[in-house]
Amino acid sequence: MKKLTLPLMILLILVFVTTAIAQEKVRLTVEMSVYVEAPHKKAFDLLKEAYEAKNPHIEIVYYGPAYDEYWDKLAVEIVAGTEADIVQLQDAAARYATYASLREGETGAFINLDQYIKGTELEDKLIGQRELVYNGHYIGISNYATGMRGVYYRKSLFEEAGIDPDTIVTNEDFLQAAKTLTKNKDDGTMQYGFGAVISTHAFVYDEMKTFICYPIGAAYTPLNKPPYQPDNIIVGNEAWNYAFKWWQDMIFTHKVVAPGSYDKADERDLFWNGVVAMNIDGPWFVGMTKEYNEELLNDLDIIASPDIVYNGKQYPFHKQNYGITHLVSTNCKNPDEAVNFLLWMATPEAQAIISECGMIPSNLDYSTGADYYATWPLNAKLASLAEERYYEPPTLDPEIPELGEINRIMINAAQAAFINGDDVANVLGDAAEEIKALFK
Amino acid sequence: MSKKGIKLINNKIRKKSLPYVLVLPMVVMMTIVILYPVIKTVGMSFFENYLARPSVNPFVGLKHYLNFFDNKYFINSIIITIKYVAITVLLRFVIGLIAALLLNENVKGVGIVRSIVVIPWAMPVVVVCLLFVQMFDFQYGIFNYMLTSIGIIKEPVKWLSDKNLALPVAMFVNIWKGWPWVAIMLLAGLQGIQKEQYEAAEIDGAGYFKQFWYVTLPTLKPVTLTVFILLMVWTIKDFDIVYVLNKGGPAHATEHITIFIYQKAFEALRMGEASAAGVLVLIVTMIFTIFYLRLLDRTDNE
Repeated sequence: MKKLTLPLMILLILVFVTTAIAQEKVRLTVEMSVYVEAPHKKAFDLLKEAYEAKNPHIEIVYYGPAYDEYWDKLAVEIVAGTEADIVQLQDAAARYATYASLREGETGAFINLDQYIKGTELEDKLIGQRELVYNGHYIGISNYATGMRGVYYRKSLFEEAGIDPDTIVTNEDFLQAAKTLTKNKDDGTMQYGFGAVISTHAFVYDEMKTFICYPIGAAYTPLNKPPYQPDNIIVGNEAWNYAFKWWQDMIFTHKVVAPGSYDKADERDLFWNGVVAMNIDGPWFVGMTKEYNEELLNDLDIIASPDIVYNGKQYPFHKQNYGITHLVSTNCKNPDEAVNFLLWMATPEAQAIISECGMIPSNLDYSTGADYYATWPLNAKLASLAEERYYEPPTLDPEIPELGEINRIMINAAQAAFINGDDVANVLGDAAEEIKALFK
Repeated sequence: MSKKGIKLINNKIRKKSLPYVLVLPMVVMMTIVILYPVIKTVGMSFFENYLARPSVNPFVGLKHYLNFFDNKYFINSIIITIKYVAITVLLRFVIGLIAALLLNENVKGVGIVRSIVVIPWAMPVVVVCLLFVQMFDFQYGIFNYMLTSIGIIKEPVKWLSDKNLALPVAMFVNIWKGWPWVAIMLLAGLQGIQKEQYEAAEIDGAGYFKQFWYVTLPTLKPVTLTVFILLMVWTIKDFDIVYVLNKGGPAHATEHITIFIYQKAFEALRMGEASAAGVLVLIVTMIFTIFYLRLLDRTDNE
């Protein structure tokens, strides 16, 4: 027994020491929907490594399911009070109200970040930062990356079809190109003009909405602004009907959309495999293509999302930012440390790491620099096309808690129109009635 | 009272209380994980419970229940659930019965076949669904590949995104996954039938079908009823298959009642309405469960 006393004592001391060291570390949990995607995982892992090296007392832990499953899970967690210290939200302000409102208080489920952002240069330096407001307070930081949508195309397929990409300016030009690109290939398989999600996935509505609805003023209320009252709901008006019908015709009449894409991943696969020639996507697609097959980058190019011709007028695409942003939970035990980490992510040092994800880092100081442009020429081209052609300020989804329900109604309407081929006027009429009922 | 008398009373109390002590942990557990949530859900169904407005939660009485009669999507989900339950329960039973009859034959290798048959049922349901999503894929799915290769269909079919096919596909997956359980249950019932019963029927001149009709089916009745009722209850509250395959879509085409409840609760954040719909499902399944328990009781008595 005596022989064992010394080793046991040493073991005990070691346990105490390691426990003490472990307890000293501040653990910051971060939940997100993009960690399952290879380019983002790579960037976030590098961020963790760099930040932990600089701050040995911090331990960062990431988790979260993919986009489709993320949102319902997050709602449940906030209601149960089990969300992470730092929560990632996408699509700018659109989802802020839905999730913040799940907890009482001026800034809801997330802490007020005014003291760190208001009046500082971050308000202008971080793309989309000014949109991250709830009840007049900043509750998020646009500190990761951003990007607007454009039309990516396969250069070889355009050359083969004799299409000059610069001639695609309006939606009608886009349709014409898609028609030319849709054909039977020599091996008996089909090639399609472009890919769009036509399934029960939320993108069945989302892609169409940003491509055609918002540019021509098809919103839930005029410009998606209050008051949100039954009389003010405009879903189902002429602009909505035009937008839905145009998209439906692309699918059923002109048959230029590759059928059977369940989600964006399918659509991208079809593009990479040469089944579709055009893909409406954001700069993250460049990073994904690089991860998939770097050689494909040589065959990849981009044009601006086309203007929409409606009632004889030409309406430019709205510059949506799709920023990936971060918020600190009111349940976070170390909010100062969480904010420090988030502010560090906005620094040029961290933004250089973030550029690895393929999106456009959100700090303008970094993303407009010559180094960045040289490394990511396609993203630089998209940024300049957006500057030249896209409309600002964009129409944003309304910042109201009912947004989740409204989206569900519109997703079902889009499924009825684009999967079932139901009459657009009826589909939109029903959707309008349902949305009105929410505000009664 | 003498010491002996006290000891006797103590022993009696101990003996009488022992069963209660033994079931106490289970009762506590059931109260925490089943009874409390059920009572809480019933209570929530009488309040607005809109999570996006946590500070306002008025008592609304039966409003949520009454509103369901006017809600076309609720009625649609009830119709879909009835179709889904009726068809999948019936087909699982028929396929399971045929399989059980075949597996009951005394031939070489039947043990291995019995083990293989259980595989679909033993596989995790989400894994099964994800495999079927791949197999039913429009572009790369094996079903379209095989059916076009052998000329049954000329063009690939949108199995999961066609409003007329989405529900049958979900039923197909449910049946594929569920029939082995029916087969195993019925096989157990078949093996309990005495050979003498068949011999007696044969002496009376009964052929295979008459033996099946007058011996097999009546003897299997208790097992059959048990299987039917359990299948009904499980299928009414089925969620995973329809959710993983199509999330209730396209355009409500596969919106089983459980999907309706899920969307009300976690997408619309209207917990009051979701709770009311949940209570209705609970009542229906309770009716089947009570019927099942009575049946078990009667079978035990017989």
